[in-house]
Amino acid sequence: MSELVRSLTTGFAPEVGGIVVVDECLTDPPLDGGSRSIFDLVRTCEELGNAVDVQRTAAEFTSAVEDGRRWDVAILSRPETTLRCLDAARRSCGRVIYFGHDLHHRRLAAEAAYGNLPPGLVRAHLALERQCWQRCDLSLYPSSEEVEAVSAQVGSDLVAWFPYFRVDQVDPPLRRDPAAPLVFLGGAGHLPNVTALSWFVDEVLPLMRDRPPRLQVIGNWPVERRHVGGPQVEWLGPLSSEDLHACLTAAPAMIVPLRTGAGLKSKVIDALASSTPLVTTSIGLQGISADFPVGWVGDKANTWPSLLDGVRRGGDAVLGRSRNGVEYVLATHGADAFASAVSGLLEGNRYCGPDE
Amino acid sequence: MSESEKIQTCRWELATPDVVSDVLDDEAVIINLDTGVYFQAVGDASRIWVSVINGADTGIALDEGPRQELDQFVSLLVGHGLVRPRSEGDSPGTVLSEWAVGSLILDSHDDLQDLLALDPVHDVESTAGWPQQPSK
Repeated sequence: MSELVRSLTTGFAPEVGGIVVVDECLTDPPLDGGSRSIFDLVRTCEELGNAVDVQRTAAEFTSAVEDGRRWDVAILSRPETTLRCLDAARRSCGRVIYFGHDLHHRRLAAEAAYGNLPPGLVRAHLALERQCWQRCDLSLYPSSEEVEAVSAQVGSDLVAWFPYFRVDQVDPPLRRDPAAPLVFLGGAGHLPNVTALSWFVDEVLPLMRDRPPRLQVIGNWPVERRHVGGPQVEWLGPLSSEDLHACLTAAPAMIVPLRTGAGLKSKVIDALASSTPLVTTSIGLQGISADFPVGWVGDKANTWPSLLDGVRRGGDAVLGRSRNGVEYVLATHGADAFASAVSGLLEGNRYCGPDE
Repeated sequence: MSESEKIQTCRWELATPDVVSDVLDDEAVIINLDTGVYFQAVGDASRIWVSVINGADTGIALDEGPRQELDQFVSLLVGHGLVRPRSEGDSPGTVLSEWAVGSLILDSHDDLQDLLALDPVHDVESTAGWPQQPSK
């Protein structure tokens, strides 16, 4: 457990006041976008002078409530955890916020189309998510599309946009070695990554037989799942943040060939912050404002070879889009922008006694 | 709950926080988060479900056929842990919805048991990948 979480879970928070965050899927260190967004939220809340308790289980949270603990704000992550905690949160917190991450039922519906999931699962997750939206004071999502979708179901007062990922450092756009490997960031533990890499290897690479690009895959891919790759694929496994940064800044492009998925992707924010050119499907750019042309987008396999050729050659247009990306992440996810979003979220929320 | 308590109880509420329910179109979706079993009640059964968890009196006078069907339906709800007796201090609930005899059907699906207890995309074994679940 990192120093950050240890200090939060054993801190000296007062009996009344402060913020409680409940996330049962939190990995420490953060290994996925969801965990990273919680860490970014917690450390920013702390930097703004708030006491924060991080609870790793719903049972831990409800037990603290039974012991009389009260908070100004509860931030509940993931649908099932949120619903298990809601009754207790209503009794113990001034305001209850659902941290949505993405629309699970939409992501699952897309995966179900590939035949990977039992059909009832999508409907069950929609029911779970609708209950979160209806019963929390506010639900947060990282893309305007998700906010609109939830707003259509429960009204605009109950849902808001939130940046989710914080960027503290950016790299200036520079010309890159076109012969260096492309990078794919994401592990086999996230189902859309498996679908994405399979599509790229099966549908795109055969169209580039005369000039096959090298590809580095970063993330956990157990040996028995590496059959989706081919001879051009080099499996790097999970990397430290320093090594990841080195890969990103050396690559002529990050590929994001997602066929399914929902919401803002942390890998895309990482690429933009490091000025790494992006070749992506439109799903990869979900959550990025269309006002900022930041990547090279193709949804059909036959458009990808020319996109990859162009981006690997570099040039002013490629550098310009990388510059757009840096401006975008600073304006939207930079430390100041993120702190401003957190301040707005927490403003005026105080625990005033149990709900009537 | 003892058998005598079950018989005497006529007003119910959703067994939160372990049970979650929502109505999508004409279908009540009911999920027991503890067991991971997912239930569906469609049409009249959905409306009866909603009125039951809103505290409708299930002990009202009924003809024998409807009485038997309602009792069986409520027994199923209780047996699956979906409802619990309503607290005594609670205000009276809604009126029991009407239904066509033979329509009070509660379908259950346990094929989602393993997946519903997880976020099926994030909560997987990080080294083995989908669909391996994390070792407990």
